[in-house]
Amino acid sequence: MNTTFLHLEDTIRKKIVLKKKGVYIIFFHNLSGNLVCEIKASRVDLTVVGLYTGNKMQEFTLTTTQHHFSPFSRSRLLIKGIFDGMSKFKYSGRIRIEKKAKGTHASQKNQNLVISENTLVDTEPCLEIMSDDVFCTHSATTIQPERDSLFYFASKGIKEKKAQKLILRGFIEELFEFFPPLLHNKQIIKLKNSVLTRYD
Amino acid sequence: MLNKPPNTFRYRYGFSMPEKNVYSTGVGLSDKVIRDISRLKNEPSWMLDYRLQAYAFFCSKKIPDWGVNLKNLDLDRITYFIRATQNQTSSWEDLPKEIKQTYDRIGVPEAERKFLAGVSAQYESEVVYESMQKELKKKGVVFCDMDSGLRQYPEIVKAYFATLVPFSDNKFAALNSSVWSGGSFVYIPKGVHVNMPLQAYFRMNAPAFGQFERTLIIADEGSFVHYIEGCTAPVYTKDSLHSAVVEIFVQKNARVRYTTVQNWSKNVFNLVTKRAQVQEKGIMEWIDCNLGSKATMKYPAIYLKGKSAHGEVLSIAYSGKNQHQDAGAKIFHIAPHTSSRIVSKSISKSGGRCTYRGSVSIARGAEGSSAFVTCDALLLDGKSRSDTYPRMRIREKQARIHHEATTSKIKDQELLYLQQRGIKKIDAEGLYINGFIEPIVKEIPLEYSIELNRLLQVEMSHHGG
Repeated sequence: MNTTFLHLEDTIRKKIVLKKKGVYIIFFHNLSGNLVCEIKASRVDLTVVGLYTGNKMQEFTLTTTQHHFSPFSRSRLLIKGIFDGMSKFKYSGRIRIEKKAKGTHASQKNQNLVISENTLVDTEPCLEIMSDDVFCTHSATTIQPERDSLFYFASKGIKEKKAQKLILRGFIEELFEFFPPLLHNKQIIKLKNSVLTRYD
Repeated sequence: MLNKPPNTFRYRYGFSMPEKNVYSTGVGLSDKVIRDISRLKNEPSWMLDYRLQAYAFFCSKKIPDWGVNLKNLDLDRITYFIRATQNQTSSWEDLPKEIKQTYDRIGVPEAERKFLAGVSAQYESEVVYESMQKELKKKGVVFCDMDSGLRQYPEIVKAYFATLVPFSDNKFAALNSSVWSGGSFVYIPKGVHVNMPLQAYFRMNAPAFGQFERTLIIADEGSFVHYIEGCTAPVYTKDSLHSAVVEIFVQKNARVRYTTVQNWSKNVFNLVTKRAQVQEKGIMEWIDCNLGSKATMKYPAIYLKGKSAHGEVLSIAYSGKNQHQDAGAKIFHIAPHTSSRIVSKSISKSGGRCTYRGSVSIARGAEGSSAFVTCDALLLDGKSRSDTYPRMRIREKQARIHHEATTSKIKDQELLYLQQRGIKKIDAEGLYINGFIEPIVKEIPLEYSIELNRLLQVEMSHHGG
């Protein structure tokens, strides 16, 4: 199958219509905007991955739509965010399955880690499902680094600051594991390293 | 093991009685209707002023354009107040024959003997029957209709009334505030545990009628009460309206459980505002079963105002043909170390539509709070629809918020598994549904859970056949 990798670099004010079967991967980092993916073919495997590392006064607003028109396709979306300083994040994600889109598997996941007192996180996911033969999930979590994990590190003699860094690294690395395995190429590894250097 | 479901489904409560009343305001709503209601009830002047203010607000607001479709709701064709009997009674025998027969067929007197601590029965606009165990009265428990509550405890009512749901909250809260009648007033004194549930039954008999009950529950420090409401109405071709306001105050260390078994006939618009406020270490639980009505909009809310307060909303929604259940929950974490849980299950079938619409807010300063939301939807055929609109607003770092939702059909493997064991497909589907709603059904008193399982199984048999 064809694999298409799309790294959105400046804006995501975009509508993407997928009319051919194949594997599609979309990645973006710290971008605000509105991303609409319309799936109008069968056997489309779409993965959308978004990463946010907000600090200071940064503000992000993101809207995503996974709109399924055709049967037997799959779409997965993962948005991860780490928010520090006075950063703000507003996310609203939507999955819509039209009547014809039987056998769809669609998922949406948003995980946020909050590491400062003054951040603001709003998530507004929604599912609109008109077909019965589908499986759809969404989940959202917003937490701070777990005390248990910090304690675990402390008991191994690792200082809190270092422990926090390790937790954040792990949190981000998870995101790169979400890509389909065939895509673990140089491009992704480069991307991963460039993001992770911030947390060294 | 399995009850055989009957072949045809019939709404058991769809019968109607000849309409007899001692007073009716007639069709439509105006200043005069509101003054008439207030005069009939001999209300203090502050209440009339409040009603009129609310009416002015109601007129100034548009019908909401989100949620369910309210285009067919004709507010000018509804009768807003009907008095069915002259006096309230505490004996079933004293009720007019038609009303007594109605409650017999719903099974209220039987339930009262078996497992209830107190019963209030509202027929049309007012409560016609009321009774409570003597021991509770001695302990100082108050359980009466809201009209008597206002007459007998004016100070308490004035202090709490409309402080949680002001008329300016929404158009239908304003409508209720202007024409409210009936409902329950419950006061549980400090440290009193009411072990058996108190129950209110709401019945509409007249066609194109509007029922606007107003309920106020105050659970004082360290007390506990379980309040159940059940709602049914006859099947008519004209649409009726039910628009209630419920306010609950849970004081320190108290616990209130509020169970609703909403089984209106499919010509009733059910637009309800329900809200609770919880103080330190208090617990509020809404258990909400929406089975009937044409269209429901109901989002029970909880304000967690005291430290370590806890709130729960457990709900089941079932939507069949031409039904839309737009239900959900709203939770506001205001104090530190508060926790909440929302579990919502919905089943859509034959073109029905279920919507979960919820909101969880964590205010700054509500440190160490946690919220957990889970919504599962089951779609039984290609005509039906399911939506989920949860919303989370987080202003506090030290909080944990989790949300998850799934939508799916009954899994073929699971049906196959049961069928391999010699269970017919239709029974297997029934079992699956029972399992699906079990986490909520087990929280409902046994008598109701049997009824609920039976009802859903019957609906399912219809589906399978």
